[in-house]
Amino acid sequence: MLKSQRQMEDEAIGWVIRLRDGDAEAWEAFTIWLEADPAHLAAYESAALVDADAEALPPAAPAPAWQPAPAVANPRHSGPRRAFLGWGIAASLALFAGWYGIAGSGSAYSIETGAGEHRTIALEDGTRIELNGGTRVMLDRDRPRFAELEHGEALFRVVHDEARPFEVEAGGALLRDLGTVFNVVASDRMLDVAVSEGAVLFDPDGERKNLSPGMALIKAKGAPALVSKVDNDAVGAWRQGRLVYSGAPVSRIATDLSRNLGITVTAAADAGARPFSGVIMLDGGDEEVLSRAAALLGLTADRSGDGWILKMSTGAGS
Amino acid sequence: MSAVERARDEMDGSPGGLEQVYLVHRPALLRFLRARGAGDDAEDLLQEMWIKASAGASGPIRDPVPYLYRAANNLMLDRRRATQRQARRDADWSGAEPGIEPADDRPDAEQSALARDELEAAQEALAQLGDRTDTIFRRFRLKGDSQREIASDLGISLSAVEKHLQKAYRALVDLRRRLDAG
Repeated sequence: MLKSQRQMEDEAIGWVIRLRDGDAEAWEAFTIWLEADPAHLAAYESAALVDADAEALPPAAPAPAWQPAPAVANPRHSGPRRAFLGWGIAASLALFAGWYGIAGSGSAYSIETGAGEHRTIALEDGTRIELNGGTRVMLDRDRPRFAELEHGEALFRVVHDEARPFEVEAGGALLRDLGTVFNVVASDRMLDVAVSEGAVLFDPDGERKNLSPGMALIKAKGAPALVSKVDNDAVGAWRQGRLVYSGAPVSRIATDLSRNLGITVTAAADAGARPFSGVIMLDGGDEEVLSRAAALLGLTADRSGDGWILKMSTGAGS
Repeated sequence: MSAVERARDEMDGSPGGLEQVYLVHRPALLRFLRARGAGDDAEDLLQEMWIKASAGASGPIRDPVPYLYRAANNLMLDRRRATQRQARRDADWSGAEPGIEPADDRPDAEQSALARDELEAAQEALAQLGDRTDTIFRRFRLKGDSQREIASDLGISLSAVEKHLQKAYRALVDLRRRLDAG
């Protein structure tokens, strides 16, 4: 007896659903189903493509257009329509995310940038992570709402999901997004978080510091976290080739310069603790940037091996 | 104990274990690829699948057999998608957003106003099915919740969950047909 087209489609849909978490037996049974009728393959492919396209949908239904946006502290994306368009763009990127993402093997993987290299990563949920140079993040297919910043600097543009907050582990601490754009710098010695939109909960199970836009948190290893103010435009300014500081030590600036320029920059022992407030522009050649930075810092930049060292100007006596 | 069972019992998890599982299931995977439309390319595609699947498995894999089937299935889907994309690219050229890459290191993420409109249409189609079906579908497909989890959360039977899912997919399949026709 000939099956109707619709019946065949329903069977194909059934396979798409079953195979999402199918065991070996399910796949063998699916093979037999495909072999049973040459028309089955086309029916399955249509359903499977629809299933793959659905990857681009947000995990939660958008609020109806006539309702106010959900109560998320995110003033710059207040309309549901706008939020949705954002989804559309980011999500359609994920649409072609390829087959490892779909395969969901459960293994973690890392993404790394060389010094001086920038990369932007789109996660399946539309969240974007912009990596500065010299940075390594671990992601896990089994934990789509989690990232570990092993070292380096990244700007997180998180697509907020009330039910499943995005969490970032960095510098031995946990950050939980509350609807957010935030920048994180981490090394084995320090952690620096700055929030430009939404909010971040630092250390949800311990110190519990709620960071709102314009707030930054600095934590040195073994010391309690310090909260300070940050200029909104300064958050993630490295993406525009600017480094913005408010009272940052020279040692930190040297690390930032290394990451952004792709060359080794260190601070001399006696210069490393000096605080600096201001903006360092990253355009031009390495030497140009360094001499400009050194001038701003009231220091000199000397070649040291393959890299540069920022040190007190000799003879100036200042 | 059969070779298959031994492979499952002893080798699960370790990278070498995946190869064992692959070798044991090679004929079945080849048969699957043929049924899945690989035709004469089945051998080559199996090889391609294995290279990717073994490279992608940096850690232990919970269920190696389904993992390999999924890899093979996704390879076929990718091929199909590539043909489709090429056809679309020929039809209307639209620039991808520069510099953004998907997390899994995939080349060319591609986006267009067309995709956005279709996404909106899909949201609408799901909304018309009612909150419950919409929510169940998104939990299953987008949050990766299992049918069992959803059933126990909502206090409904597994088969009820499956009916909701069937309904949601049906709406999307019908929508696809309308979009392709128009």
